[in-house]
Amino acid sequence: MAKESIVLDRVTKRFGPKVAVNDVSFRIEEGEIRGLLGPNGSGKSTTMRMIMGIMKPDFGAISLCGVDVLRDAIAAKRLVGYVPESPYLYEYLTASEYLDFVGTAYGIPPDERRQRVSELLGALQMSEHVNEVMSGFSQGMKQKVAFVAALIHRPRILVLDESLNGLDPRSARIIKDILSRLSKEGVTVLFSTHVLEIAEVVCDKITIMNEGNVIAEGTPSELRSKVGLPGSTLEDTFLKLTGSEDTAKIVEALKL
Amino acid sequence: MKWATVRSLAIVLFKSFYRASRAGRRSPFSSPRSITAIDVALFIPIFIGAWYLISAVTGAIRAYLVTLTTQAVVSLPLLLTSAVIIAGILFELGNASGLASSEAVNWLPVSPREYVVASSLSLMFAYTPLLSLALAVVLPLAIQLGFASVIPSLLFLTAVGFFVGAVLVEAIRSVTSRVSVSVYRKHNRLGTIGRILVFIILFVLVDIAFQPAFLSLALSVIVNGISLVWFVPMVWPSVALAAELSSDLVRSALFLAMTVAFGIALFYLSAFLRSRYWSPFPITINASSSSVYVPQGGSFAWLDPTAYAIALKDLRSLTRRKEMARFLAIPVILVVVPLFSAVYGGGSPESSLGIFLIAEVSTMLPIMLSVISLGQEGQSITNVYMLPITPSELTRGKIFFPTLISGMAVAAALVLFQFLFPFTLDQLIILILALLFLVVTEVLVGLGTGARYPDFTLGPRARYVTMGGFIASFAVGVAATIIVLAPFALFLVGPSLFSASFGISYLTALGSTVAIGAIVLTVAWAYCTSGVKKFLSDMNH
Repeated sequence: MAKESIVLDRVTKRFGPKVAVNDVSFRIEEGEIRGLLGPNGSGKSTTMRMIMGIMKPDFGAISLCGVDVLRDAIAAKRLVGYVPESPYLYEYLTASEYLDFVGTAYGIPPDERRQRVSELLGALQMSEHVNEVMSGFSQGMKQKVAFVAALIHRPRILVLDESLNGLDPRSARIIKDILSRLSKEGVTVLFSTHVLEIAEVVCDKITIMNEGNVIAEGTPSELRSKVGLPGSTLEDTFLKLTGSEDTAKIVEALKL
Repeated sequence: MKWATVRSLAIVLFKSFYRASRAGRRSPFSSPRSITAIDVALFIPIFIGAWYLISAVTGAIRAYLVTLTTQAVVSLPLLLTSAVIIAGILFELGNASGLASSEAVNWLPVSPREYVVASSLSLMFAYTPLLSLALAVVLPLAIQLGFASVIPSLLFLTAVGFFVGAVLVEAIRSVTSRVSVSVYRKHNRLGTIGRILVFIILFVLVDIAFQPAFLSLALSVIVNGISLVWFVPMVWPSVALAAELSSDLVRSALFLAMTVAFGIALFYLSAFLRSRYWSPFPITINASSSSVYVPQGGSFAWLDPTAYAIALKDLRSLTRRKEMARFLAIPVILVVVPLFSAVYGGGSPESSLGIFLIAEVSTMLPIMLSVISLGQEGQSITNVYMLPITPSELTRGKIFFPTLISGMAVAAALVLFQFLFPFTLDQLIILILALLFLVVTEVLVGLGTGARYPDFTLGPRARYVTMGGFIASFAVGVAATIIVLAPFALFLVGPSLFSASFGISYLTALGSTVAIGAIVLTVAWAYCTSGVKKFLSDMNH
């Protein structure tokens, strides 16, 4: 039986009266690429932030490779690489200064850092921008730097929050290939996206959230069977599960 | 020129100017109608109050008021033009301009001339309360003291001066946009240092400009020196008014016409500069010509690599972010402004001023620099949360540069004041010891409070700490200063202020300074580390 890398057990998070994440439980095995899908405001980012130890759940437990995130957040963070939805980098730093900061925080020696950063920046065609201050970077360039920062310490878990947004096709392809390779090497990936075609191609399993709850879980074909739409696209399955399938009527009503 | 476009763009720019500031979103200043209401509400009661006050004044005071009115009438256009220019430049220097600007004008069918007029009008309108306030004081003086005939010229020239100031800001904005692009591409370090120095000088000058002693000095200098600098276009409105007051109507008409011509010429120049030099694209700053990644970092003093990386990042933030320059200007302002007021206020500086200023610098500066150190991270604080950074590393990294910069500023102030108001060697030893404890204590108090009450909102005049936190940090900081400096104060002035029984010996003062300083420092460390630990435990911001 494969080891479990990410375990969420009855996790709940409230913001005032709003329940952002409600009694969520799931387990992700080592080397698995898990897609976390859901409409805007479904609780995906909050779930990911709790997994990262950035936010404390009001109730429930989270463990990463056996490390209790609530008890030892620092040890848990050493295992994970995280690319947030909007990469809030230190924009007054150059890419190399930022990556130095991140690499130092992960305790990576300079020689290893040089090799790792050079490889990753080269792969994402960012080498020539390494000494530029990031305030002038496009969204995609910032995203690439955030990817390098997340991979710099060879994490055992990678958490990607809608982070393929803004990447050019070549870089998106490279990231997808990197994810597949990392997965084969035993790195677990939790990956949220609104681009369902990518989720279908990249993910081994998919968890769908809506209004803070997990409403479905399984491989893409299991999900299709579950909603009685075998042979349909993941998009149709997703819309059926989240109760938003009547989009055609909405467009017709616009009288464009 | 389409005036409908100008009008709607001016309203949009005005609203974004005010709403770019956090205060503006909540304040009544954020709509053109309400600011007009505020202008009227300011003008009427002050005008009436001033009117009755002047009516009641007789004799020598009335004679003095006549002199003051002459100075005010002549100086008003120049002072208000300068105020608009300085306020406009400061707005540009703060990150407010980034928040208030709209990229849309770069691709909408808006001509440079339309933009310059709209932007100038919005800037002028934003500062009409200042105009309203000034006129509410100057007009009753002018009417009652025999200057009523110059009022039409005064109003006209003040309005033209306001426009000239606003158009000049537009011209500066276009040129600096291009200069920034060129300079930062080629000479990043030079540009960064130069920019910080310019910011600091500007902030100090603005602070001095609002000192009453300076205003009084400025009024007399403008009136007496105006004939010497008649060739400077900015003083032409004042020259015209001075000429009218001395019944030289030809000279007055000439300078009035030249003022109008200058305003029109400046407008065309500003529109040309905008079309020629405005760069709507983000600046790409190269820190190095090399495109090779060379790892940097290490450890330094009591800082392990992670704490040092945090400290280094904060130093770069302090020197590269223009909105942080005002914090670097604080030590200079803290020393220069009170000294300026003391010197130009007519009095002679005394040693009590020296002690007060040293205590002020060693309390305010460390708190100010450390209380903002977490909040200034803004949304990027996510990095601190997602990386495996311990509370101890964050605390040590965050206190390093506030301690170093404050220590250097306090040492410089001490040297300056030792030169002006010498302490004896015994006094100096106790004072230096107390200040060492005090600077570190205040840095810890600031960081501990900043960790408990951070404000990550980025905007103009952002505080980076909540108002409650700001007040709390200064209350605790002042209390710590009083406690730590108490033995020194008793040793220095106890016997002379009270009685001989209030004095303490050198050794007692030395010993109690060390003991009290160590206790206060320990308490401050515990306060700071518990705050940082709490801060890192959950990102509920």
